[in-house]
Amino acid sequence: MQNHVLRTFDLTKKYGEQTALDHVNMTIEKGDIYGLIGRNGAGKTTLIRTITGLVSKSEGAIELFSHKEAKEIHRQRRRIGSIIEAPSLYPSYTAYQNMKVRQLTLGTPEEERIDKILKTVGLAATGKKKVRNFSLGMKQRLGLGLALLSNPDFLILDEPTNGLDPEGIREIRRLLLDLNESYNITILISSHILGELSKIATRYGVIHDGVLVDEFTNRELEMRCRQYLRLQVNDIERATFVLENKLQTTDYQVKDGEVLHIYDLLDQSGNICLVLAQEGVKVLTIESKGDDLESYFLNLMGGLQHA
Amino acid sequence: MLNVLRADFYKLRHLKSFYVIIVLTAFFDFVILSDLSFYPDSYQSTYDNFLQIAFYPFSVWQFMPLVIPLALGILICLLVTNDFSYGTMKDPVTLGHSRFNVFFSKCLVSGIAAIVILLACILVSLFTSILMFYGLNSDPSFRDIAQFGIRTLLEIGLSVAFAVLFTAIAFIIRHTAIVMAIHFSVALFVTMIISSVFLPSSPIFYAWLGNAMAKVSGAFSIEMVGIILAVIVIYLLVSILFGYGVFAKRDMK
Repeated sequence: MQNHVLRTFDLTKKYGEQTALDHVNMTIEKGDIYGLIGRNGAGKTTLIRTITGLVSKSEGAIELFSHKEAKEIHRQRRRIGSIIEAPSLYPSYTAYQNMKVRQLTLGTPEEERIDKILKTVGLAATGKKKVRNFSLGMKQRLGLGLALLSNPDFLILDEPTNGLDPEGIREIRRLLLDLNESYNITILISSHILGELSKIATRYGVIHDGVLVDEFTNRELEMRCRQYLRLQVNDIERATFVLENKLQTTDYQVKDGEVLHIYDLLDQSGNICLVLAQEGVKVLTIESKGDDLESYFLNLMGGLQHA
Repeated sequence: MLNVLRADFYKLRHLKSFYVIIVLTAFFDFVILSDLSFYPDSYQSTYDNFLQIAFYPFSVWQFMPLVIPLALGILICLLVTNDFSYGTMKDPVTLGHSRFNVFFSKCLVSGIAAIVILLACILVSLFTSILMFYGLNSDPSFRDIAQFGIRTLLEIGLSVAFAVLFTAIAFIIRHTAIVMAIHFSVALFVTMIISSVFLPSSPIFYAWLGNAMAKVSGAFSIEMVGIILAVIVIYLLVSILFGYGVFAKRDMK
């Protein structure tokens, strides 16, 4: 049984001569929290707009919930809840009235669901307060509430934590994790707050100049961002022998002939140097290294920039 | 389609400007009719009964054919372009509704708003005529009642055509200030220019909705009814085809 919520095949969007999306092949599996990363203008929002039908594709295909036909994709979009760039709200309406308009558009009969969702996003007590008087965070939460009203199987959130205070960001994170774990809702999030994204995403896609340059799982990211000791030594063969036989570790990599990346014994750098020195290996440099998502992304972008 | 329509009606019902516009247009209608009551020589020599006077605000200075399109221009601008500026126009599209449904729903709601405004004016006209001009030369005959009914239906058709034309313009232009300016120019200047350049007997008079509205309020023939109906259908079709054609192909932000 196929578990793809979304697949794109060579998805391309051109605005005249400019290519906003360039043959994007992306896969989101059921239950994923997919973090879409990219600089401003990289094509994240264009990709999201193309998936949600706001922008027509120039080339390629989209498969949504295993459906490829245009008419069926249209129908399947009812299963998506989305916030694109900023929540679309009526400023002269209350939170309830905004929810009511969405409920009518969806054609769902349950009135009590509006109250339930307002409670979930912490806006149940806003009463007759107009949305124009809401804080940015409240608007963001209402946007999320609107996206949840359709009981979606797939949530698409473009910068959902924009304007939220740390407490608000944590609440949204908890809510998204809960939705993902309790209801198996698949989530696609684009966010600039990479530290926050790394706390919830299970898969990542990096988009640069309209090209999906990398896709990796959280586990792969952990591997790529793993903390390690970087040692430059004068005798690499002897050093590896000492690591394996005296320090009892094989969790290392040899780089560029004279550099060792040791992923084990991170808190024993002094001991490593001592043992290596006792065995006649000269340690030229030693430093503790490792990336988080943010530095990994910046390194990747830096590399692409110079490619 | 029904779901989008329900949501659009909800928005119309909660639009305070809609009620203000109804009251203002009906008030202007009342003012013009009341003014006529100060000139008994004029109305006693022209009209046989109160029913014939009811459409007076549509013929004198083409007053209501200017006021109603102006009112529709403001209302439709608020109904349609606000959805573009708030970003809420994309909601039904992302929820899987076709763009035709989104466009057509807005046309229907605008059309119904136009009918409500027009009927409010006609009701005010009718009650004011009864109050101020009852017991004129004769009671309304069956012919008077039939003509009143046909006039009302034709005015409704022309108002709906105006509403759909303005909706299409709003979908094409999207920007609130520009749409408002175009609606105002179309509602005021086109009607004024045509009336000042062409004679009422000219076919061009029928060809523009505003002038046709004034024309319907005067004496009319079966042939004229046919032409007016054709004009309504052409405006409706062209507006829907052109407005939807642009909206369907355009990327949404």
